[in-house]
Amino acid sequence: MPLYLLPLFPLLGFTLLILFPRLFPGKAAGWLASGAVLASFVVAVLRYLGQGDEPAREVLWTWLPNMALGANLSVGFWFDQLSAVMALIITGVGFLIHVYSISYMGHDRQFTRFFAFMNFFVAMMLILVLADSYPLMFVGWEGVGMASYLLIGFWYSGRNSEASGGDLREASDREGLANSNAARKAFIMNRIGDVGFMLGMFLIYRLYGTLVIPELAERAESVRVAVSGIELACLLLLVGAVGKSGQLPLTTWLPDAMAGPTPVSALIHAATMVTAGVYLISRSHFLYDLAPVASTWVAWVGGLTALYGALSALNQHDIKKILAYSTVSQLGYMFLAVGLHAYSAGVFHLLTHAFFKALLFLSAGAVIHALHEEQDVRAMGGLRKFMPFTHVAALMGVLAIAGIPIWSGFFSKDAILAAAFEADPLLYVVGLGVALLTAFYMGRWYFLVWRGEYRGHVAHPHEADGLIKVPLGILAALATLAGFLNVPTFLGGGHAFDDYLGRAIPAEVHEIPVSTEWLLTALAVAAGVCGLLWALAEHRRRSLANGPLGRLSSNALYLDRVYDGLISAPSRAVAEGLDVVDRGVDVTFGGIARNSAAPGGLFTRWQSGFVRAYAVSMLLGTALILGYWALRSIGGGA
Amino acid sequence: MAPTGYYVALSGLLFAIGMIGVLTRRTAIMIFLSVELMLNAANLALVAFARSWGDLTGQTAVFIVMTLAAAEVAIGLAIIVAIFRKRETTNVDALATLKG
Repeated sequence: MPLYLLPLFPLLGFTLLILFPRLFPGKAAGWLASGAVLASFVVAVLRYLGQGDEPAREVLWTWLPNMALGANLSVGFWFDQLSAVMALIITGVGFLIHVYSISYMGHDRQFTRFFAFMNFFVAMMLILVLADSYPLMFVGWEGVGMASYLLIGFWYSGRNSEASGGDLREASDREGLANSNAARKAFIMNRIGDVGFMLGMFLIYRLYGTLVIPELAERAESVRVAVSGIELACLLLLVGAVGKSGQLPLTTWLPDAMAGPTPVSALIHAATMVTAGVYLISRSHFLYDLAPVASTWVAWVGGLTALYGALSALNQHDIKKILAYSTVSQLGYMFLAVGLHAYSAGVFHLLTHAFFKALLFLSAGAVIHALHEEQDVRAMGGLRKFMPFTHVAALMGVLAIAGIPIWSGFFSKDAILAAAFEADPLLYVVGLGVALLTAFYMGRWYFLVWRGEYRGHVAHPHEADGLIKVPLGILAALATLAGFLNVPTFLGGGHAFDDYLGRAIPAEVHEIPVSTEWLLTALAVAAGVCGLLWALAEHRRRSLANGPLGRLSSNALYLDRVYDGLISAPSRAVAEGLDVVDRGVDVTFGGIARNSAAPGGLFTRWQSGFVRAYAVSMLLGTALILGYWALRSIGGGA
Repeated sequence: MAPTGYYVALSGLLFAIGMIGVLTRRTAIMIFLSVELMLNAANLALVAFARSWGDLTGQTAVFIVMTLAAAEVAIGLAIIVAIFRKRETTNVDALATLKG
């Protein structure tokens, strides 16, 4: 099975759906798109099963001439343990989200277009993770940026743009404007990150003379270059990763990305786009190993973003916004891990996060669906009675993200916290605090949505149908059990995932006494349990909403407003000034043009089409000429 | 033999009548007839001047004018007939929409 099949299937699906939408009536488009992703998943599984210790590299054709030392850069795919894990996550979770979408998007007018974009998204993400060189990775990088732009702004004219009622139409227009702005925000913030990625690429090429990743890894070991150069290149790559993964300071687009349909949120946040930053740093591990300062930066960006996301999630009211800030926070954990060179822990958290966050988003989608587009958690509550299946699935997700033992988040978060403890006590404290906050806001989410009294407007919320239940069930099972892929030694496990990934990325062996490990685990579990209990207490008393912390959290620590004041407002002022100048120039030149055209307008009046008017003008003209000559000959001749 | 001045005066009169016809008539055919009148007035003047100077050049010019007039009438009438079939009128004011 050649590797190019992986991105090829979804790309074919995209091409068919976008060029011949009429060929796929009803739900055929959804099944075709899901089938394409399933085919890729089968290829990924087969390749995974047949994988040896040596990475596979398959070169397709030459691409950019003279971009590598003494050779042309080619389009080639690279399949090692890291890209295998990523490909399995993208196609596996992506497939489940596709199946879910068939039901979720069933009534949308743009059903076919939606699936075309989803397939495009998956194809580009696969190119990103399978690329064997930075420029090809950049192709996928830009592709997912484009796909996210299209999908976040999917309801660009609002969901009721064809409604007949005036009020409904107006609300829909407002919603469409907000959606379009969210899409633009994501696109622009990603472009800022892309500049960093590109500059990083240029610098790496300048330092090592190649951008092919395997060659670069060899060179990084043998060729000596200035450390400051590598540090700078790594920091520039970090800027790119920060943009794509919504880390501080480029984080504000990620919560706004909730404007897209819920399956899109699940796909962006769990399986594809935002993990690209973590993947980029893991993929460039041989550079970051040489750049201690840049790695520290990565770790601190991750730690602070984890804290920022968790604090912002505390008091949100939108069922999806809570999850969005949670993603920001969990991605911070991953950055923290890869910044500390604990790549295996970071990628493992990426894997478990893909399961439980996709599960949580899809559960939230089922709730939104059942309550007829209601997204405010204050108008929910008590849904456990109406939707028992979704309730159990969501509960699995909450327990997983809160880090309760046996659920997957426990194992991955524990590994990150252990790495943080070893590297920097301060980062560990931040990580532990975030674990507490995570358990609290997810507990709050759970209690507000599923427990207590029903406060909604829909009389009888209904449980979702089978197409939604099956992906939820599979994801719930994965979120519960995936942790056992990597049971650490002191708990009697074999580090299976660490060993597997260690063949591609040399693992950092951390040396913590077993007794300390037990203590760390106990502390982490205690943080999770305390968080959930705190959430229960808060659920009873409801004291958060009015406190200063609640206000700070509702406004996401005012980061958006800071940007508005520091960047948007001055830019708008400059733009308005330039607009005045522009209008002045326009008026001046418009005046000149009108004045030169005006005399011509006089002559057009003459062309009336009345034959006799022409005859009169001929007569008058002749008379004038004759009179002139007569006067001349009288004056001159006499 | 009448003096040349009489012929020229007659020619001028005919020309003026033709011109008034062109300016006042609305029907394309009548305008055409008036134009013919003006052409013939010019012919008359040419012949009169040729005779008074004893030179044949003017007579030759008359033949050229007559040939041209014949050709013009042939084409002009054909156009008028075609327009009439299409528009059922030969009123030149109604044809103002044909302007470029």
